[in-house]
Amino acid sequence: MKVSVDWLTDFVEIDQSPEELADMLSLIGLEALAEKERHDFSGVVIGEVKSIEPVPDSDHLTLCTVDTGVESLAIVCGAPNVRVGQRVPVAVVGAVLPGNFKIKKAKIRGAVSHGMICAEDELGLSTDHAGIMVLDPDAPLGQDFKRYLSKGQVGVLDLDLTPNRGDAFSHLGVARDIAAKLDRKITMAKITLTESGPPIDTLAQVSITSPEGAHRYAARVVLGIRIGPSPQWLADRLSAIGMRPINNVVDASNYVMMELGQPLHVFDYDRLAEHRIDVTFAKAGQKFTTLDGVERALGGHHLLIADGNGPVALAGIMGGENSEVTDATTNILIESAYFAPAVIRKGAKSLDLSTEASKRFERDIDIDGVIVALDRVTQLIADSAGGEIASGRIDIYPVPHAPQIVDISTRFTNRLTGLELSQSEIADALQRLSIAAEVADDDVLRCTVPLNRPEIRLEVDLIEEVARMVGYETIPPVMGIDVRFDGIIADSQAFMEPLRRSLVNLGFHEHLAVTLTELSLTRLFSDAPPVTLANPLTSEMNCLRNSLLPGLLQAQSFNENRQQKGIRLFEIGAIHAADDSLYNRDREQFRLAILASDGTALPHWKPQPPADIFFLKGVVQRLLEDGGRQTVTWKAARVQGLADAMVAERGGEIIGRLGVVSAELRQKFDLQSSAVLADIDLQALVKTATAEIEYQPVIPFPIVERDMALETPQEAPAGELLSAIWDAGSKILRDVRLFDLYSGEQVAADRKSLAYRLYLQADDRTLTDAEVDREMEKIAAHLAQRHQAQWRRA
Amino acid sequence: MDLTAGIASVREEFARRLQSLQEGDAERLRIDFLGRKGLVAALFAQLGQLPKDDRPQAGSLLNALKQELEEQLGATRTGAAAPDSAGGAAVDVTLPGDPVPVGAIHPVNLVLGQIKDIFNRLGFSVYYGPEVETDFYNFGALNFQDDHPARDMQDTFYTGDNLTLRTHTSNVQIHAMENLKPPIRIIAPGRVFRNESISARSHCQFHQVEGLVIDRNVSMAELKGTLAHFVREFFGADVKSRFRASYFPFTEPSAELDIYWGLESEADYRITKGTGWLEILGCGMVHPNVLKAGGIDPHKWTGYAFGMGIERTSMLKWGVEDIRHFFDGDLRFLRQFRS
Repeated sequence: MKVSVDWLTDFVEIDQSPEELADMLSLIGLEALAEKERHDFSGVVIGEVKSIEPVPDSDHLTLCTVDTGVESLAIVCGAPNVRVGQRVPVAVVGAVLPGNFKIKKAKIRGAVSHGMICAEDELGLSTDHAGIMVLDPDAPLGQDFKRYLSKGQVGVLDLDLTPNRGDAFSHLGVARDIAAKLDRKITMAKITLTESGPPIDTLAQVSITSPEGAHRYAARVVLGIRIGPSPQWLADRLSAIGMRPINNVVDASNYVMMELGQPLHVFDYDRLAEHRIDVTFAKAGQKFTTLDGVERALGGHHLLIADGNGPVALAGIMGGENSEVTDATTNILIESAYFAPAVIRKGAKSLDLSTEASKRFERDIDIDGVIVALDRVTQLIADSAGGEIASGRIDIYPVPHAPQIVDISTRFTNRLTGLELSQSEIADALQRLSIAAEVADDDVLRCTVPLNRPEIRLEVDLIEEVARMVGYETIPPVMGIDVRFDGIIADSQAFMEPLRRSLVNLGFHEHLAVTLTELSLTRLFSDAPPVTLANPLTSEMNCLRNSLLPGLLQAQSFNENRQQKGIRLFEIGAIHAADDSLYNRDREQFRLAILASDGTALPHWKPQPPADIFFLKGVVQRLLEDGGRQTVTWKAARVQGLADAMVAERGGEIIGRLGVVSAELRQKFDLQSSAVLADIDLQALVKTATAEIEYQPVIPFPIVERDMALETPQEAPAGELLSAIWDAGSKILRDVRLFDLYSGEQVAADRKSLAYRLYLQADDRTLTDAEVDREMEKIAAHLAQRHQAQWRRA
Repeated sequence: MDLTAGIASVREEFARRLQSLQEGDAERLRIDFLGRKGLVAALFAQLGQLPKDDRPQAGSLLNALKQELEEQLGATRTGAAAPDSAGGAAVDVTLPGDPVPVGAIHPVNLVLGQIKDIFNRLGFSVYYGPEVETDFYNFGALNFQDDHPARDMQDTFYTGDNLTLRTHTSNVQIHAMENLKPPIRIIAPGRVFRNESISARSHCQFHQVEGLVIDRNVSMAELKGTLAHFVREFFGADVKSRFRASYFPFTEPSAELDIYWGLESEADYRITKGTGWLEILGCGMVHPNVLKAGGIDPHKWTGYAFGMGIERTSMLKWGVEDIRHFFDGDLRFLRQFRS
């Protein structure tokens, strides 16, 4: 909402600049910005040319005497169009013109000039330099020229109001906060109406059938008006705050709404059947055409204004086409009412129709202001459109609102704010806001909250008012570190940080993809039914991801399209499912997903290892396995969306999946290179990360290394042979590493050779050759018997 | 034959062969001299014929010979000419070192890590809540009344089964009150969602950190002190901050915290709307209705809460121009946060 500073001064004295005012309002909760000045000059006033004499040493310069209302100045002027009696803009000494051009006393051809009479270009108003600006003869002498140019509306503030401050949705409301903060008085202009028409009771009847929707309804009738343009001052004020002037009746109701915060509606009296008004809820399915020409289907929750025939307005939201004021209108009925905020909000929301009126009603208006606004708009209309005001007004107000009575404790106020206020300081702050505060006891003040502040209901609401008035800046900053042991809890995601570090050090960048995704992508890697959105932003974002993998593939494609190669990304994030089927657990689960695309980011003169599945398996092993002993079993498996896929198992539970992106998906995601993917259960990583360190004494005896090449059937998995070695080995077997894999001439066609290096060591002695040989023989025998593996002795 | 003369002759012969060594002949040379039936083995075989007292000395001479030949052979095998050998090229140390790949933590988590560190030092624990949430935890318990315009402050996504995607991390406040007993002193980071169209300035998802402290006598003064400390730690010791009255349904009194950003560049004017001040977080004293909803007696306990956007904070800290960068996985963006 925009407010004009000039308009605010109708209610309160203001001596701050618009910027200072905006800053002050922002600090007390009415976030305001001063609109940028349109004119980039200062110190220019309106003056009148009193006399002109030639400057002796010049053929075109003249020495003018200019009266600025406060002084008479001698000014040298070179313009050909200067004449005695002209009203002109004068930049006096000290003025600053566009381009930071400062006006000083100057001596020109022997004549002393105390300022400058300005041309349009010198003020940045146009590029015209044909001569000085000549103003209307009635331009007020001595007035600030900027003020004159902007028709009095110097300083417009743009307010971003919070939804609790319905009371500040008008010039009066903003002025009230300014007055309270500055401890100044609010002055309201006296309204005088000449009620020369017939009694209103003889002209119109009003009833409220649905009092839960309309708490108060007041009306006046004016007969014999003439629709025409608004007076200039009123049109200027509306323009200044961004409202387009329309005609004297519409403008008057808009003006009073912006001034007092009360939305008003004007009906063409002659178009109201039977000249009667009733406020009632619509019937479900009822149709009504609003004055914007749109036919709207209503529900039973829409509040209507009806005449003898049917609806004439959507109460509190918009008038109807059938009763609106036209150029031919001569008689009017003016409505000033209080509609229930929740009713208007529900009605406006279901029609997706938000208007200046509905915004105010749904934020709650001042029910005590209904009559003042009605009289004010009637006065403005009568002043500009003439006519006879019917005597008296209709005011249906069956259950008057009672002001809230709220207690405020001095002790609690100080305890909650950290301030040290006395009871009288609190009372003073509240009274500045017209909140009457009576002393109940030495701690408690009993407060009566005026009806313009209906949102103040609790003690804490009053405390905020007190804090706003004394200023948040007066609250002392305190470092209250009062940590108790029982307040300290473990960070359940602490393990993620070292995990991220590990992956980063392996060359991976962390990605965060968008949780919202499209349905087709939720079918690629998971059977879990996705959570769908009832109100998606777009159809590409209509459900929540049930896997992190599509996000990584999209990122690969994104990067490949931007000349990036050797892409390595990971994401730690939540996935969702519509039932509990997500990896047999929750509806929301954190997972880790990793992607490495084929190729290297940058070329290098020495060969670099490829990013194949064994590279990624190594990465995952690094993360999943603590120490040398296998804690994870890897198995070939069919995995949706992946080729050459495998799963990692621990304790019979699948804790990870890994493989190459399938050819089909490579095409779907438009990938230039192949990629390997892994998807890991974070809970499994928590176990790894939080596993206790089990210290073993350092063994002082040497480690013996022995190699064992084993010939096995081509299809025998290397992992099984490895497990078999571990199974057959005694406790002197410390580690086993596969170091060669061979198939070719040296072995039979259906066989392959796997060479392992065994590390042997005893806790308490140096192993003898004989002991080592026995161990090797024992392992070889076991392998030969159970796994058809032959030891190829050197 | 004299063993000493034998050693001298083997050494001489080896040097001759080594000098004229052709590529690929090194293995032959090894076998001839150091193999099981090689010249050195033959000399070892003569040891037995020596008098017992002379054997140790002769043995060590032979071992020295064997080691010497092995070393010379080893040098030819690695192919790296000794730097002092005549005509041999030195190692080109200007060749590039092998690349050690390094990635980067996402800027959101980088900033979050810094925020966690700052609050951990002030005794805050870290706590989490769900992204998909009931209306009660996201709105009702936080004192958002039905049909109140406050609900419009945040455009909400609803799921098919009428849950909400949380619009703020404030839902964690209620979970924390229910699951932890006061005193509570937590921060709660997480992902939040708003039904807003995506542009350079706004996104349908972003991350927040919530703070919640509940204790016997928690005051706004403490809130102000804690956040002032945070600003100094995060933005720098000389950064000014100010408290401004504001409104959130779940705090009363409510405030927003601005930092003084300055007005030195065009961009400063744009992002501070010409005021020099920049809002970085919302905060306030926990509303008594919220305490009640969380099962905490507002007469016994008071609390404060705050919430800030991580992307917004990162954008300020580094001057990131487009919020969409955070979720594209663009390596040209992510790479810049290597640390």
